[in-house]
Order: sequence, then structure tokens, then C-alpha cells
Amino acid sequence: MADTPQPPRLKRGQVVLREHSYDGIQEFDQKLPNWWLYTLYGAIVFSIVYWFILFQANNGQHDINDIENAISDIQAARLAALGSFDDPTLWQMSQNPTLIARGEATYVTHCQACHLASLKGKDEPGGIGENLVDGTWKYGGTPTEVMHIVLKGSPDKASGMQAWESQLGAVASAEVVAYIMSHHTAP
Amino acid sequence: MLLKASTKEAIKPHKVTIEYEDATVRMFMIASIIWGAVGMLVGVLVAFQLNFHQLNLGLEWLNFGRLRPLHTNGAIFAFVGNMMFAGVYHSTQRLCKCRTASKTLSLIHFWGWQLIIVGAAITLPMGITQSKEYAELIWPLDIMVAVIWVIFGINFFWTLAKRNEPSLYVAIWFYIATIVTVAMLYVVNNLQLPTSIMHGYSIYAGVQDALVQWWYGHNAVAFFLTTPILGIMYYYMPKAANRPVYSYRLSVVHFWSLVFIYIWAGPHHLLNTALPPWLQALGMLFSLMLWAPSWGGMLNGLLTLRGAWDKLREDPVLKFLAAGVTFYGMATFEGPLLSIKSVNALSHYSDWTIGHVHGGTLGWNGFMAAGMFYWLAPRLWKTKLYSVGMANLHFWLSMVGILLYVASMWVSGITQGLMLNATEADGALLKYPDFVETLNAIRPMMLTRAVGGTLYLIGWFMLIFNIFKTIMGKEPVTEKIDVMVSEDTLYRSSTVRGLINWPLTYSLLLILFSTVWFLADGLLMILSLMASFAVVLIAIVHFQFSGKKWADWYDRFLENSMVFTVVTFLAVVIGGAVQIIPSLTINADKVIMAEGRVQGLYTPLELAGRDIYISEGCYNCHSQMVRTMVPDVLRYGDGERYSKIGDSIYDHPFQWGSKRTGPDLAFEGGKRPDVWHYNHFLDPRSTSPGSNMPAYPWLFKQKLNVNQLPSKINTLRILGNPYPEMDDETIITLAQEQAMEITQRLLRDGAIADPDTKVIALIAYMQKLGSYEQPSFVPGANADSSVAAHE
Repeated sequence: MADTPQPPRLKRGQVVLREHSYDGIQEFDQKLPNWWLYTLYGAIVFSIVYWFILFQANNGQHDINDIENAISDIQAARLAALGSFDDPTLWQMSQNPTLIARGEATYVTHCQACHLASLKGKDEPGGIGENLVDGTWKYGGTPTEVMHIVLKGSPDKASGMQAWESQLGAVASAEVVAYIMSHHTAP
Repeated sequence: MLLKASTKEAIKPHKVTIEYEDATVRMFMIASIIWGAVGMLVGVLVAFQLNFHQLNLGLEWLNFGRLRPLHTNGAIFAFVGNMMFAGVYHSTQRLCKCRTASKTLSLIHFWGWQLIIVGAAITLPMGITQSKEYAELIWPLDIMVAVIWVIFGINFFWTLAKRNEPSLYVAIWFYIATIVTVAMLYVVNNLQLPTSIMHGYSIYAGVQDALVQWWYGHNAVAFFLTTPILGIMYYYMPKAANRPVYSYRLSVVHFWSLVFIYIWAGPHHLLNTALPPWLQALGMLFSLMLWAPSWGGMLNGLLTLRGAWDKLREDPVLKFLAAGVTFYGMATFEGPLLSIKSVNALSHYSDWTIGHVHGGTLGWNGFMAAGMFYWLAPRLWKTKLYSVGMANLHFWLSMVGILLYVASMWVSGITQGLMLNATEADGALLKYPDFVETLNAIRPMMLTRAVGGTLYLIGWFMLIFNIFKTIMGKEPVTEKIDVMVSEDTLYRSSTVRGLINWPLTYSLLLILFSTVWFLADGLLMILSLMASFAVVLIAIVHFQFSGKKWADWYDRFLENSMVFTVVTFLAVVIGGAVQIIPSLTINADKVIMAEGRVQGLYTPLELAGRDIYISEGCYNCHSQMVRTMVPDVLRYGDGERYSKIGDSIYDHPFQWGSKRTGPDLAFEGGKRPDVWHYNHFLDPRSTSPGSNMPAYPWLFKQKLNVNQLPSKINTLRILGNPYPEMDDETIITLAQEQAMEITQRLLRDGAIADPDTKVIALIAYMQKLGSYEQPSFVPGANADSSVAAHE
């Protein structure tokens, strides 16, 4: 197209229609919309500044530092929450109808699939968890021992229960223990 | 081109008659219409399966995990692929004023492509897959794809070389970008070492594989679903509207910025994961920068309709094209939004992403396809569209379908994302610890989606009927044109002259300096940043003084397809190289030094289980990536652990996943008893009431083929996994012993299983997930990662 004649000088706002046509398709040569250009430039400038601040003025590790700090906070909160549940408290809870009802609700959602509504677990068809009402305890029968298993899971996870601490937390675990212990009597 | 140069002197102006080769265009068009229906039908089925697990029918080859890849591959490669080929073959001939170079190659291309699709439709439901999303096809099919694609490329560039139109129109630029980039992406992502005729292991592992896969996956969207369709838009939109394109200048700027920037944005699929933070930042920033270039395409499409808006009322073709471009604008606005790290923390792994991609495929690709087919059919068969009314009805039905689909997925994704991320007790406890509760919250939305998809499918059946009635009994036309061939119409610029010029020099210098700035530290970093700014300033000043010459240069540039192709390839190769090459140096030793721990090597049985996991498509619903976010750590990491690079360093291919219809499994090992998994695979609802996971009864019957294990272990050793030298018998015995151990444990817990069955291997794999070793030579490594380690 080098030999096409020079287009006349443009007036303000006038649009060039390029001479060449491809299979009948012609093209205007409109100026780029300003808002569009500024969006592109803005994104480029933002990217340069962001990169500079994040990786060249800092070390770029803030995600890792943030999550490590958060994990440490979670652990601290868990330890603090556990402190208030000892055997006398849990036995007391096991006699409070409100707490038993709450514990039962949690039991139905999370525990019943393996331990069954009867709490008899694998001693009845369909159950795969331990029997919780037969008076024998694999890992100790005090409320705190039971609670420990609920929170941390069975020591033998290849055939025992998972840990529930992350899902239930200390309070809901204590309520479940209260519900289980309400089927037993304090010594 | 050589031929042309040598005969150049001999040519006197004369008239030739060109007969276009449209037979293959017709074939590609009909193939696209039919595969489109198949792809959408499977899509509707899998959508309903998510609500009604019974629809999996207990049949292995109708299971969600195997059908979803069939749906995605069918929609992308069979539906859009054939549509793209029809458009490219049809428009390129007209834009080059010449017949397609070789009908034989066109026919090989057509039948080869259909053969690949049939191969995919057979292998994927059989569970024969390599699990990388939209790259599931196994290596023999991969090779076929590469060969057929090269044939397509040869035919296309040969046609360009024969062209009687000196200058390349913008549609052709997009086709060129498509052909070179898809070839590069497909080959690099599928590099693997075969273990058998049906199976191979990716040469990349863990984080490398994730990076390469999403470089591919993201740019398959860019260069398979976007650039060719933009090219198609640039031809059919002005044709159908009978209006000039809005702005040539915008075409130039948005084309080059799009192809250069797109390729960098892949890591936005891996935000907040174990991917190194600098790569995550690149993914996010380039996605933000991509917004304007994408909208450049939309603007050029929509503003071309200025002065022709009234035609939209009557003409279904323009309706579809205009709506398609609008959906393109919507999806490319949403994309950068979802790439912002904090937004992604909510949206990723959720249905929001599913809604986003369907805005693209149903809205942009599907509508552009419909518009093009309604325009093409009457012209290729020299007749009139059977029913304009029915086409309009198709439009409105599909529109309602898409809106239902996308809107319900927004609500679904945001609802579930908020529920999954909600914490209480100062962030120490999840508000909705039960995953199934969040799943059941979105069931109404998932059902609405399935209804929307069904409406869209019904619309497509109307298109099939309408086009069938249009062309039935009609004679296919052979279109001819007269072209004046003279020296003037031949391409003139030499390769060297095309390559040496200021705009290109400035661009390359800018890319060089900014790349150094990215990667360097200290003084070099500051200097290269300043040099980048200097190049921009000098280029702007230079342009101000010689604007006309630059425009002339670009006109000349457009007359040399080879130079154009080389420069396009340079533009698309840089981003991938900068991101991928540094990650190739990551290895287990470095990870142990940095992280103090490394993934436990899979035993032969666990490896067999992993291949079953891949084969059943578990990755379609389960991720293996606990992100650096409190809710993820609480839900999947026992409140103390998130995924690090070393956790998947031996994983060929990686299994980080992209969607969580079920919970993450990165650290599943050792959390629950074997018998739980046994019951869960047999009937997921017995252990997880309310779950929508399909049952896997066949895993309890089918025998595991342990004879494949030696070849697999040896292949992984070659790829760098530190397996000791073992003879075949040892490997098989190891697998059998571990299977026996698990079977006995199951028996003790009251479950009866045959040690040779697949379910045993799968349980072995589940129990291995998240295990790690802490090699003793590492200074400062903790004995375990229990609570005490974090005090």
C-alpha cells in the first residue's frame, strides 16, 4: 500500500477510513478511547509499583509469615480453650439437659454415621465405631480421656477414629462428651 | 514464498479465476454442530449427576469423574475446535483471495481431528487419562493432535504464501497467533515418558507440573477459545453488519498486548498455593493488565455495529455475534477480578469459576459459533435460512439458559466460598466444619444451573433442526472470484527488512530490561528498571517525530507473513520461559534444605492406588492443596499445616486440582481408619450423610494389574524419584504384602475384601496422602509437626 495517495490532513474529530479493503471489509482508523488507554496504563503502573513494593522493597514472604503467625494463634487459642474442661466439670455437664441436647445434635451430625444412634457402634449392623455404652473403654473411660480421643482421634488411625478438634473445637467436643457420659454414671 | 520470489519478474498483470475450496468448511461446520450437541448433552448429564448421585448409575464409564473430562474436552476440542477450523478455512481463503493450498491436507486435517475426538470419546469414559485438565488425552492421542495440528499449520501458512492479497488482515494475525501458540503449549505440557501404550508419566512433578499445566490450561483458553474466535469475529462481524471495522489502530494495539500479556497469566490458577509467591504475583498482575487488551477486542467488535444496531432486531446472526462479544467482555472483566489474590481466596475451587468459564464457552464461543453457522449455511448452500423465527427463538432460549447458569453459579460459588471460609472464636474454629453442609447449601443453585444448561441444549437442537432444514436437498455452491494478479499483489518486503526496524527494537529492549528487572536484585534491578523507563520515553519521543513512518513500517510488516509469525512467536514465548525455566531447577534436595521435610515416596501399591485415583477422575472434585489461608489450614491441615512445595515433589503428574465439589485430600492419609474409606467407596452416604459423591462398586470387583508396576516404578526412577533398584518380582511382592496387610486390618474391623482388588490399592494411596519424611541430615528439622513444634 506504499503507493496509495497520502490522505488529506485531518480535521478535529474526523475519522479516517483506511483505503484498503479485504474481501470487502474496510477499517476505520479511530483513535483509541482514552478511558481504555488509561485503564491499560493504570494496570501497568500498578503492576510495576506492586511488584517493586512486594518483592524488591520486601522479601515477598509475607504470605508464609502471615499463615505461620495465624497457626501459632490457633494453637494458643486451642490450648486456652481446653484448660477449663476437667473431669468434675465434664461430669457436671453430663447432667445438664441443655448441654446434653447440644451434644446430641453434634453427635447426630458427626458421630452417628459410625457409632450409630444407639451408641453401640460396631456391635450392631452398620456401625464401624467403638461401642460407647458397653462400659469398656479402649483408651480410658474418664471424661477427659474420652475427650482427648474426640479431639485428637485414636492413636491407631489406620483402624481407629479421626481427630475432631479442627472441626468441632473444644466446646462442641465437650458437649459431645457430656452427651456420651450422660449414658454413664459418675464414680 | 520462495517460489513466488523466483517467478516474480515473470508475472504480468492478468486475471485469474479462483475457485474456493468450501467442501471441508461444510464438513467442519457440520462436525462442530454435531459434536457441540454431544458435548452439551454430556454437560447436562454431569450437571444433573451433581444433584442426583443416582444418575451415575453405578456404571464406571458413566461416572462423573470420567464424564467431566469428556464434557470439557468435547466442548473445547470437538465443538469449538471444528467451529474454528470451519471459520479459519472459510475466511482465510477470502482474505487471501486464493484457494486453500491443499485439499488433501484439509481432508487429512478433518478426518484426523474426528479420529482424535472418537479416540477421546472412547478412552476417557474407560478411565484412560493423564489427568491434566483439558490435556487428559493419553500420549498416542497427544502425538496425533500434534501431527494434525502441524498439518493444519502447513496448510494454513502454505495458503498464506500463495495469497493474492499482499497485506494480512487482522483476522489472519489472530489465526497465526493461534497456530504457533497452541502447538507450543500442547507439546510442552504433554512431554512425558510412556510406561505402556496407554499410559505415561509427565516429565514434570508437583509444582513444576502445576505451573506448566496452568500455563497450558490458561492459554488453551486464550489461544484455542479466544484468539481464533476473535479472528472469526473480525471477519464475520463486519461482513454480517456490512460496516467497516471500528478501529484498525485498536486492532494493532489490542492484538499485540493480548498475545504478549496473556501467556504470563497462567499462575492465577494457583493463587495462595505452594507456588512460589513471585509467580503468584506475576499471575495476578498480568491478569489485571490483560483486562484492557481483552476489552479492546470487545470494543472493536461492538463498535463495528455502530450505524447497524437496528439490524439486530431482525437479523439473528448479528444478535448472536453481538451477544457473543458482550459475553466475551463480561468474562474478560470477571477474569482479572477473580485473579486478585483476595477475591481468589473466596472464589477458587468454587462454582464461581465454573460460572466464569461457561460465560466464556456458552456465551462467547457458543454464540459466536451459532452466529457464524447461521451466516454460513445459506451461503455455502446458496439458499435462505429455513426459519429466522426459530433462530431468534434459539437466541432467546439460550440467553435465558446462560443467564440462569451464570447467575446461579455466582450465587453458588460465593455462598459456598463464604461458608467454607467462615471462622469463629477469633479464627480458631470453622463456622461450618461439616463440608457436606456447605454442599447442601448450594444444591438449589446447582439444580438451577442444570436447568439453564438444558435450555441452552434445547436451543442448540433448534439450531441443528434449522440448519438441517436449510441445507437438506440443496446443492453445495462452489464460489468463484476473479482476481487480478500482478507484481503489485505479491509480497515484497524481505525478511531482514521486516525484522530490523525501530518499533520492534524498542519492544525487544523493553522486554529485555524489564525481565532483568523482574529477576535481578540490588543495583542491577534499579538500573534495569530505569533502563525500561528510558526505552519507553525514547520510543515515545521517537514516535512523536516520525509517527507516519512507524505506521508505514507496520503496513510493510503486514506483507511478510513469515516475519509476522516469528515476531508473534517471540511475543508468546517470553512469558512462559521466564516463569517455567526457573522452576525447573527445583528438586527434592533443595526442598529438604528449604522446608526441612519432603514427601514420602509411594510404595508400589500406593502408586497403583494413585493411578486409580487419576483414572477415576477423582481430581475433578478433590484438590490436594491446602492453601496458605486460615480456613484451609483449619479444615484440612488440623489447624497446624499447609501444603508446601515438598509435599508433592514426587507427584508425576501433580494432583493439586481446580475444584472442590468434595473436600481437599492433601493430608487425608492417617486421618481416618481403612474401614471408613472402604465403606465410603462402597456407599459414600454411609459415612458422609448427604454427600453427592458417586459410589465405586467396581473397585471392589476389578483386579489390580500389578504387572504394570515395575515399568511404572522404573519410569519414575528415570524421572528422578529416588527409588532403589528393584527387580520386578520384588516390586510385585511389595505390593502384594502391603495389600494383604490392609486386607487383614479391614477384616479385623469387619470388612471383607479381596487383596487383589483395586479398592485396596486406592485405600493404600488415601492413607499415604500428606505423609512426609524428615531426612536426618537437615539441620534444625523438627522431629514432628505436632502442636509442640509450633509453641
